[in-house]
Amino acid sequence: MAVEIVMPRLGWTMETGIIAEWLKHDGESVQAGDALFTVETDKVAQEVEAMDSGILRLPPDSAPIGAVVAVGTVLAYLVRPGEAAPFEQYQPQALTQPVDVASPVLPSTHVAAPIDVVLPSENGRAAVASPRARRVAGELGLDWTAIVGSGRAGRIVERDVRATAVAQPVPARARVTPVARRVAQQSGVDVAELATKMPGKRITRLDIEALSRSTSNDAASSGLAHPFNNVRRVIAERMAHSAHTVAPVTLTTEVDATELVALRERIKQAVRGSEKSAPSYTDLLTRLVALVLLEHPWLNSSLQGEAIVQHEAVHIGIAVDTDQGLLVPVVRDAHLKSIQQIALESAQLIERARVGASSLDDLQGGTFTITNLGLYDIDTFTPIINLPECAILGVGRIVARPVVIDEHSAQIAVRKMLALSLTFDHRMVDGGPAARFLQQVKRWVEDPYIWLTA
Amino acid sequence: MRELTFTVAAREGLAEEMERDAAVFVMGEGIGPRGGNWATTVGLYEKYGPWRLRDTPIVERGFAGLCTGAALVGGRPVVDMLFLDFMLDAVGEIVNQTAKLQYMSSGRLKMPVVFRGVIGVGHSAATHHSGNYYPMLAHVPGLRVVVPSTPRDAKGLLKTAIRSDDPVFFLEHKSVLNVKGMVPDEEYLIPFGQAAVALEGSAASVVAIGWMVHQTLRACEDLAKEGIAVEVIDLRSISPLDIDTILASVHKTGRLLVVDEDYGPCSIGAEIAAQVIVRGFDDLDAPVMRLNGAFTPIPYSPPLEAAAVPNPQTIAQSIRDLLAE
Repeated sequence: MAVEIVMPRLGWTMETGIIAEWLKHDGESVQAGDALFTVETDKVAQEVEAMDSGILRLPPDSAPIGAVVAVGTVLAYLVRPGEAAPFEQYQPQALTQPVDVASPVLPSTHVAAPIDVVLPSENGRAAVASPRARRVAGELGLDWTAIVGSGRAGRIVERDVRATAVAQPVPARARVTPVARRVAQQSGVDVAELATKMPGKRITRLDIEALSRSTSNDAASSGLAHPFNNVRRVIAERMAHSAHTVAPVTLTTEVDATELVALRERIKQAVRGSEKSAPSYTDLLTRLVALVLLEHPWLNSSLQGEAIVQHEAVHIGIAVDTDQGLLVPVVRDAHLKSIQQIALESAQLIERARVGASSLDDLQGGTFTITNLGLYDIDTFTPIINLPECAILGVGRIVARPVVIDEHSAQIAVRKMLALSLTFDHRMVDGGPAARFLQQVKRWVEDPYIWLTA
Repeated sequence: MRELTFTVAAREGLAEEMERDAAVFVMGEGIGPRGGNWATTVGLYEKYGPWRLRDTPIVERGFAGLCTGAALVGGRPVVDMLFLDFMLDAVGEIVNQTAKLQYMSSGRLKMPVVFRGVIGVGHSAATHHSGNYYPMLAHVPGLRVVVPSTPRDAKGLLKTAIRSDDPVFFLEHKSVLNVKGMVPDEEYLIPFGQAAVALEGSAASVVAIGWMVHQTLRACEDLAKEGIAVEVIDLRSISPLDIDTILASVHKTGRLLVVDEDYGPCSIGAEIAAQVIVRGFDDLDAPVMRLNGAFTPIPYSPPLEAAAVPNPQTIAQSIRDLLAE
């Protein structure tokens, strides 16, 4: 440890001195008590002796002979043999807080955590999270290592985890400032996509704002952006294609489903306590429609080039609403299967679709589609044809309504009414045949015993 | 409910206990006819006379030992140290005898002694008259240490201290003595080991001791304008320490700051931090921070003295720093 040789205060009022002469030279060995240098003040010229032993080292910028030097100024050092002088060593910047005269607490005793100004994204350090952030991430089922931290030194804290749970997750590689992430969320900018366009760049608020401005439609950028996943992309393509190629007409009819409801209730009671499950209305309609299609083959066909191909078998697709989007698994040979078989199979298909485990076979080969929105209190709607099929049956809710039973006696009763919407492709089928198909479906719903015994 | 100063409320507690139990007596320098250097016994000498308000010479070790002996044979002394710094002269008696005799006698001997003294920095009291010393005391098994910050707490804790059969240090910060507050009319006691939530909040938990409770609340007024609402906990009881109240608060807020006028090294804040890290590790969203006085003998010069302790501005800044963690 080097000893500092300073300009001494040789009198009460001395404030400066002049080095008149060095009595030892740079590199020379000094013993305690040796005269080191001579100081001139306005009163005296005095020899200053060394209080310690060592090798004398003068820094290159040491005050020259004859210069006026303030008392306390470091003039030279005494080092141990072989030790480098302080001016020859790399001095790391001492991390001290600036001493602000206005804030009275002395920095050296302000027991705060050491200030680490190196951000992990700049030196590739692994993600760091507070214990609370990790706990909350665990509770929410999130991978905290992929989250960008807004705490000091890039630490991931609870608010970052909670923000990620709400918004879309940003990939770990995307370096985004916390402010930029917030602004992106508010303006509906996809940060992940932006990051891929600017690889390696730290995305700041200015980048987000520039992108927002370039998006001319304010309304479009005022919401949360969800990029297409695979399912969405396929749905978008198919729906657009269908809408642009098919000549769709939708027929609707109101059906008295009271008997069907009663039938299903009886079946439910019959299977209670057994392993069998009661068929859903969609299952019942799948069987019913399959049988009607056998008598109306035009509705069970596909357009291939300029030929209309009538299918011999009936494979009914059932529209299923899943987290990824609309999927349509197919019940094959619905015209040959019993209601029980259809119920069992459809339950499995729907479950697979819901958890994202549908196979390719599950989703292919349909000849007709049934889509049931009755659960959501929808009555009639205009379903889009599932190409290459010819028609699609939209099923509404079953709701009790007052209905005229007998016009002559003006008798009104409460019946379970069901709206059916049939969209067909007029390129292949005309209104008459389509209407006749729907009419038979209606009759058979109203009187289930006909097709139950088919 | 009446509005009383801290001093008057504490004195009321002492008077009630002296009335209730004839074994309670006070010993110290100037606590007789003078009524105490800090007005701790004003009016009591006229009522009870020199037998129960016993002035002493300047020999703290002497009267600390004397009161220890008195407690052993049925007395319930209140030892008024004036400035707590003076108890340093008596540490040998206090640590080796007062604190340990119950243990050494297998519980046969009781030690119902209260040591009271004024602590804290202010008014250029300087190096020998500004000490806090409660970490030192809390580190001795066998001693209770309480630091009330409000008149209500002063009276309730002093009464509990006098009724306790253990040796208790009842510490009163200089700046808190004139603080006014509401005190109930009916009799009440405040048990040891119970912290009080002085202000509810959710941004962070701030534990404060003594005068720092008031300074922290002042800081919170400024922070409220910035939309920052922290929870302030008045520790009240140093030993035993109410870590459960602190843990419950940290569970809510995720961040903890301890504001203590006393020095940082080996402080109460360090003890709290260590306990919270063990039992509340997964609740911490940031490191536990401490704001302490400067680690220096307390200066005489007023600007230096002010610079050596936390104030509302530095407390507010520490809270902002904690929230940025």
